Amino acid sequence: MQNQTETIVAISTPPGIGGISIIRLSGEESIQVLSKSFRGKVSPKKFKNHSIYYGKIFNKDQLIDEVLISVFIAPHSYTGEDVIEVSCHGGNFVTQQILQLMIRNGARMAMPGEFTKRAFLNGKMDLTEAEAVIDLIQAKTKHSQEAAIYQLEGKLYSSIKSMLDRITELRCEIELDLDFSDQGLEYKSTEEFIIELKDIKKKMSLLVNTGDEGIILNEGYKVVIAGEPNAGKSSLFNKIVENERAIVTDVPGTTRDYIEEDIALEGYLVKLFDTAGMRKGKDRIEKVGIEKSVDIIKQADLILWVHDITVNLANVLNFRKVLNKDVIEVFNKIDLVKEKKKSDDPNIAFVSALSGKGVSDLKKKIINRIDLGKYDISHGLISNTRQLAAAKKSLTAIKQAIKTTQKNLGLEFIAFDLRETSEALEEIIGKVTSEEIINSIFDRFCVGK
Amino acid sequence: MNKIYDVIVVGGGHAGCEAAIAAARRGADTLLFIIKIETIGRMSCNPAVGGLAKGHLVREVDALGGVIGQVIDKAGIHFRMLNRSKGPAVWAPRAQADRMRYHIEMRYVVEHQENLGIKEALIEEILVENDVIKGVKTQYGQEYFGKTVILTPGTFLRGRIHIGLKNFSAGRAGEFAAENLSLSLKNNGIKLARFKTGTPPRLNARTLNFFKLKEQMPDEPPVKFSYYTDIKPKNYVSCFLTSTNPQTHKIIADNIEESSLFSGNITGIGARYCPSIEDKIRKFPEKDKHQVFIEPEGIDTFEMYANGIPTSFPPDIQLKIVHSIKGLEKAKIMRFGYAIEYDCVQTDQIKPNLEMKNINGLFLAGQINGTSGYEEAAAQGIVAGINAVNKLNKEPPIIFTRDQSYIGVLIDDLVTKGVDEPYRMFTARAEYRLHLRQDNADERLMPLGYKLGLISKERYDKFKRAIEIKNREIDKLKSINANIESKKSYKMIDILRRPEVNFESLTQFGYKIEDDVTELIMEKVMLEVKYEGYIKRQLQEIEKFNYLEHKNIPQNFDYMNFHTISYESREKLTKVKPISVGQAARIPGVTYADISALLIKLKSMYG
Repeated sequence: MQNQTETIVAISTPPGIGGISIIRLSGEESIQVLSKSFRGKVSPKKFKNHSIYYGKIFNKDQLIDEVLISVFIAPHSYTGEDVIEVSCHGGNFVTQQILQLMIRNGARMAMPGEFTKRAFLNGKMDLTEAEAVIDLIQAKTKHSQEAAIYQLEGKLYSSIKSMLDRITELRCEIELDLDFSDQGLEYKSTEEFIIELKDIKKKMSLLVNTGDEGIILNEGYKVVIAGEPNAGKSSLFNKIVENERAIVTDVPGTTRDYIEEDIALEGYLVKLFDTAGMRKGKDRIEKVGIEKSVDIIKQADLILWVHDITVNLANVLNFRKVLNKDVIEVFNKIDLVKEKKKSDDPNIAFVSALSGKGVSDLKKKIINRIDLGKYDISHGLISNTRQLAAAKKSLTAIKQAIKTTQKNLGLEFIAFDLRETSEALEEIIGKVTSEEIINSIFDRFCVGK
Repeated sequence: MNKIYDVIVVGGGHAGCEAAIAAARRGADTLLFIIKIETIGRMSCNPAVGGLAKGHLVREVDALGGVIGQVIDKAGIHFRMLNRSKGPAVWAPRAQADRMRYHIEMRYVVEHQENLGIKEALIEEILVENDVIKGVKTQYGQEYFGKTVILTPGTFLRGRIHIGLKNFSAGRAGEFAAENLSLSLKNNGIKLARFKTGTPPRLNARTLNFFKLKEQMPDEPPVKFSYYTDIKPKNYVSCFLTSTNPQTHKIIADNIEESSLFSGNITGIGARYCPSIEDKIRKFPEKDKHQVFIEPEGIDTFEMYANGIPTSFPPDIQLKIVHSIKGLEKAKIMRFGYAIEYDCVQTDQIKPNLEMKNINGLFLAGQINGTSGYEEAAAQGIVAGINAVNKLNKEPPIIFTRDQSYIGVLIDDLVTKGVDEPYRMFTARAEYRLHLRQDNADERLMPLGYKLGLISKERYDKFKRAIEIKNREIDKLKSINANIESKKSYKMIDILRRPEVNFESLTQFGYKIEDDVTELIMEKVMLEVKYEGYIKRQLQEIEKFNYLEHKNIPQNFDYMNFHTISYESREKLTKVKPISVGQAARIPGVTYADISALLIKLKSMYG
């Protein structure tokens, strides 16, 4: 059972939607957790109930975002505990960074529906109300819905369940060996044990990797527009967004050096980033642009590297190697050259950001990247950050178990690691043994609300 | 006016002795009843103490100030640390005892105890007035009065021995059962269950072919159970190993209907972990052999205990079975094995201080609570003894918790989950196994034992000194650089963290081990250093666990009128009357939803 006094955190706005994202903290240490990263006129210690404060979130000395803090002191809050809501500029990147900071500051990632559960436990809400909150959670695009359906059919469930069963079997064997070691029974050798653990680990790694796919469906496929100055990146950005604008998240570059938009391309949630600030005269990627742009590029699923077709292309191809990312070379300003430009190469596109020529071709190429079969969702995949965090936790724990086994530290320590592995997996599919109604209700919740 | 004792203990086995001694040491005027004085501290089953998880219990009882550890240290004839090949959290001390010596040592301790009287009598009745215990009545009709009574009757409650198709009343082979006490309990509203256990035949060592048996040597030097005592245990004997074979199994299969187990005469429930040899053959026909340990019963006797083949076949079949086993071809049986059925109570009627819920001042410990094993009995005995005195002193009960001791795991399992077969301790039952180690039972429980007056000042000082030395050594390890040829300098503590390095081998790197660093301290230091990461993780878990554990529920909480939760759960909660929300959550069938609702209710009632 989760400890109710721990301070929990989650992004309480749905991923990618809305001009503003809210990160919510609940628990005794909410204010303390925030204060480690917050700078403002009023120190968090002096926050008054039901007030809003302006300030900045820093990661050490690096500015992350300007934010507004809403303060709800227990019991006058949604959960009945001290609640802090950080309203930051929308978009996955900043939101995730703030979330990670809060976790580093001592908060724990909330379980699905945990805020509501606490509200319920603290008598702020009755069970019917709590159940009604489920309806607030909606899949955003048709592919997300599809994934949701597959999950209902239990693809993810059965693949995790089978891992869980195998781990349970190993745990049983360990317990048997520990408590009945004088019985002359036969057990797996260390080698066999490690082989089995490694095989489960392999499956877990796959799951964690599919996690990235699942997150693409739910949190968006990240496409970053980058390139040399004056190549027409911003024009291209605007052109792509123009007709596809699902939700506008036009954040002025006051605190950041990029712009982000969420668009729906044929049902896929795509997060489009326009990076800026690429400096002239530097041809090595590490020195190109400021750190944030590089950070965004690092997180990208796909990069549109924009060139000015009228400029010499000598140093172009080097970038792709350095980036080690999926790249489409986009040659802009075809309206300025005479010959007709079109390419069947999926890695190359010719466009005119000014006239819009070639943009739909580019969009198709982007969609094809998503569709390239790489993201076959039929085997069940992880579709939100919480599940991914749990899968990663189980992966870490099983790695630890393998290490412990190899170092021959002792069965009871392996047992401990494997219990952690199991518990992490159970976080995704729910306790296998539980008949616990409320747990299952709350497991259907998306994190935050 | 009749004398009123503070504490009356009924039964002088492993639970009864601990209970009586703990109560008397805490100043209570105590009287111990036993059917036959020669059976004080008798080992009814195998002549051994400790073993997996049980060794942990012995160390805990010892750290609390119980006597089992010191008695086995004196009466032991073959000491081993089991699970040495596994990690240190599951190392388990075990010793073969000289059965007679064990009784003599225990009797010595009991008879020398201040405030403790012994009386030979069979108790047939408990005296209860208005749900309060008043005393007991003997078979002669005498009444003895006590403010509290602790029942530790072992297998004697309506005990019935089965051999083949024959069965008769007995508490143990050749001893009277307590036939009427069960009825008296029943008449006082106590619900009983019936369990079964068994013993193997005992063989004459002079008739065994030792060349065909595999010898098992004890550990040298022997590791003792008791902390900070001057007892120097000694190894005298080896144990021996052989096994059953297909021929044995055929004899059993061919004669199965002659075993009392399959005769339909036995209704008691046996333990899955301790099956008779006929059970083993029936349930695992694919196995072609089962281990048989040949364990000496003492150094003044040739009697050997054939551990591994408990049986209730008639004597002639028992002999055939024994003769089919390698090395035992010409063995003579000195005592035959048998199955025994006995009454025990349903443990959801007991509170975590081991007091009956419906009879004030009546405590139960040992097999009557559905457990098996001397160690489990001793653990409950000392808890009952301690709490009877707290009751007299009108002090709050001492509750042992799962994060603190195996004793806590044991009692919580009994009173929260109930038992449906004889209960034995396993390390797997302890969630916080990495913390509940045999090496640190002193650190976990000695301060409590001292506070309760069960641990002498002298022993406690030794303990405190040892911990000081331990901490000094750890500080030293952290500050001293290892004498090692390397560009990087290493602290001693980093060297010790390596799996292949033990404390003593640090001397190679220039570490000086002071004279006051004992084996025990070395072990403590080593474990704390090597497993620091795991221990920390475990302690974090314990901290979480304690959140619900410290949410108390008033004992008069009215569950039946609390309609938010299901009727079934209300019934269960009413029956168990959990003392904390944590305990409530462990009751089988009580759901998370029930617990959530309970938390809300408690908060709305008590803030």
